[in-house]
Amino acid sequence: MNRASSNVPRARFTVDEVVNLTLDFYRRNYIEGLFLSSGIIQNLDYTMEQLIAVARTLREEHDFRGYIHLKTIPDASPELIAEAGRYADRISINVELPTQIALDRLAPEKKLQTIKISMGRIREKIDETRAELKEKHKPPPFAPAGQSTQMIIGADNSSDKTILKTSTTLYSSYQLRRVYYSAFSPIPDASAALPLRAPPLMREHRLYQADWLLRFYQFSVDEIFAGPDARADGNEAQEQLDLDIDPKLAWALRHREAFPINLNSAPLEQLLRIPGLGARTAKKLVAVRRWRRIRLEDLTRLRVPVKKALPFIITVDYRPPLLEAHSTQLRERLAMPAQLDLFQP
Amino acid sequence: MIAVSVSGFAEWRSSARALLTQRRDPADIVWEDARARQQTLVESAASTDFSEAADGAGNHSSHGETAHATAAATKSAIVVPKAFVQLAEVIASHRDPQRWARLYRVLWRVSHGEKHLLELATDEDISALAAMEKAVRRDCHKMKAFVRFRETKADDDEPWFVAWFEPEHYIVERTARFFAERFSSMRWSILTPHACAHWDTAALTFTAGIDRPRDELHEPVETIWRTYYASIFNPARLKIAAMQKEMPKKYWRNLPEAELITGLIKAVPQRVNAMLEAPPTAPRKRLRSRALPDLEREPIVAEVAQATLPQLRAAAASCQACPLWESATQTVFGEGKLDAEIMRSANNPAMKRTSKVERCRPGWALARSCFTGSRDRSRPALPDQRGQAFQVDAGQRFRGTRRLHKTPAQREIDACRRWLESEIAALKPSVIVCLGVTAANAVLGRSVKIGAEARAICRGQAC
Repeated sequence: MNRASSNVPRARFTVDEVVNLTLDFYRRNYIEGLFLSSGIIQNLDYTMEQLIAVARTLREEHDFRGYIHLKTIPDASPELIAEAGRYADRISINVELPTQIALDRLAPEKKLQTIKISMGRIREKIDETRAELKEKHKPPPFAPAGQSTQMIIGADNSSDKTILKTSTTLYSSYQLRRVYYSAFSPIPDASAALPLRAPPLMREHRLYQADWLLRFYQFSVDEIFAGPDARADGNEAQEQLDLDIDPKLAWALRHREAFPINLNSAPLEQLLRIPGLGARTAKKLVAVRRWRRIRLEDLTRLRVPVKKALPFIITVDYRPPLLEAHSTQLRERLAMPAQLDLFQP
Repeated sequence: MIAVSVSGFAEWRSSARALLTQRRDPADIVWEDARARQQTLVESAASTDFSEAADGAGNHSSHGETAHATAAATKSAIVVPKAFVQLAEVIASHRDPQRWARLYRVLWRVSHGEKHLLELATDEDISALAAMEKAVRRDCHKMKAFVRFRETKADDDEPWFVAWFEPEHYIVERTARFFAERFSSMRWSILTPHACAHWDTAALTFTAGIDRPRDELHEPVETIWRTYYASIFNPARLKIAAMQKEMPKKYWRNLPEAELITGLIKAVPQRVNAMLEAPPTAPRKRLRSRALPDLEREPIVAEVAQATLPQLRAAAASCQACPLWESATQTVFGEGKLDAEIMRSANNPAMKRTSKVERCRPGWALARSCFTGSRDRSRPALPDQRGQAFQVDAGQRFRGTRRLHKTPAQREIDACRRWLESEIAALKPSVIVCLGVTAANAVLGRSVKIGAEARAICRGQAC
């Protein structure tokens, strides 16, 4: 599916129109910045030149100090991408789908390989600029806010595990700042190859939570999905995140042997595994316990969701009962009601 | 008991410094918030000012005493953590009149044996200060997002942008700098109930707060903005709670777009249903592209025997024979003279240290150390014939930056084997030099021990 295959009528703005509209909105503080993107007009490089022209005019002629996020076209020539980085705060290339197989079905024009090569080039340029800055040279800026990408969730049947595996590769190989997950939402005039249902917003949310576990909580993709799928009857390997509980709680319920964790003695890596305890809270606890023993009321002061953390922790004044509930019961107690499907009968 | 009245951070700091040098216990001080008093005076109008005035004359220490204390303070320096000063500066903007007392208490504790107090996030005072700090920062953030300027004409007929805003805390002074930097070439004023900020493209000035202006200006750009706002609203993605957290209702009345929100939300179920019920359509335009390919890909390169090297290179680019095809960036096919007599095989592609995608070369690192002399002087350099040879790799997938120089797994070598064989078949070299055991394994197709076979020439079928 691409823009050319959809019948939705397209409008085209000239560079001046975009610049003037942006300035009108910007001067009134309606907008913080500009997200620049375009369908292909004439050819790749022409489209890219137009996008750059908008960014350049805003920066150089109108002293525009807002944020510019420029959506790059992967096949555009490297010189153009380099120029885009001079004016944009962030540049991004969307991978859209996690595998080439899915791309072949829904976006056959897109090649994961070209996207990756372009991302690699952008990363090099960012690294170079940063290295020069470190040596106190003053290089022309290049995408100071880094690069990011987007994956559409729920348009194809890729599993959450596949999606997160792809994210891990992207984060480690190209140093992306963010991978954005975007639930596929039905558009007017959609193709039959796309699912016509309300966007899976809860799935999107869980993917973001898992993404955070990967980046800030020292989890690996395999860990998140380790163990048999609780919802499947057989011993099928788990490929999807639970929708009713967050991925960290799900992990904890599958690894009861690792708990309870003593907040007064466990190392930071273990604190990070406790459901309900955020990375910042965990660090605060480590700082506090150098001076005072951690009590239950301390958690309330730090606004920890105590009910969720309770079965997994030991404090000076608390220890879970020896016969703490079984994981299945705990799960029922802590699960959120399933996403209310407002628009389905 | 002593009463001190302060209106801002600087005043509090000098008073606190003085009181601390006098060793005044926090319990003995009543801190008055001058700003809050002003506010109540304005709000409760003239009828109550009598008692207030009497109050002020009777119980309040005059500024004279504080000033006197300040002079004494300058003699002995008080050392407090920098983090505390920064925190106090933020807290000073909070609306809570108790903030001065709380700050002084913390200052007292920090300088009386609890140097680490700021680290104790669970302490009652510290967690209260942290909550206040968060509230102020959030309000500043919302001010940056929700101030809406309107263009008017100044007396000299030049454009002048004016905004009315109602922040929750005393944050105009804090946030004005941000607007001055952002809209440095524009003349603007931000008017609020407790202070007004003005920028004339050169300097920031502040005046007292004003009442909400009665006559509201409207300009045509607002209509365009509303149209834009309504059309980027995606009904299928609405999350009401999340939206109101980002855009709290208390700010709505000064936002031109806010009046649309209720209507947009109301229409959501209907619009989403219409989207879901609409039948899918086929593209009206004939597309250039071919039909959707099958999920199972066709086997790659049917006729290896006849393929030329450039053909092979193109085919190898989309090889999916090993799992690396998904995570790796690209294949690194052999390169060199197409009629070379010598083919060299290394184990793995490598990159220069600068990690250039373009400079990703077959066996680069190994070739350099073998042919231009390694650091190990005892091993003589081979004559550099790189221009004359054709360089290939046993494993041809380049894996991204993390796993550089890792020996390829047997499975990956097997997958690349047919490319290697086809390269040999196409080039027909007379000699193949294997750089290392992995390369030799791959070329000879059997397990090789370098020690046992060194200096012997293997005659293979391929050559």
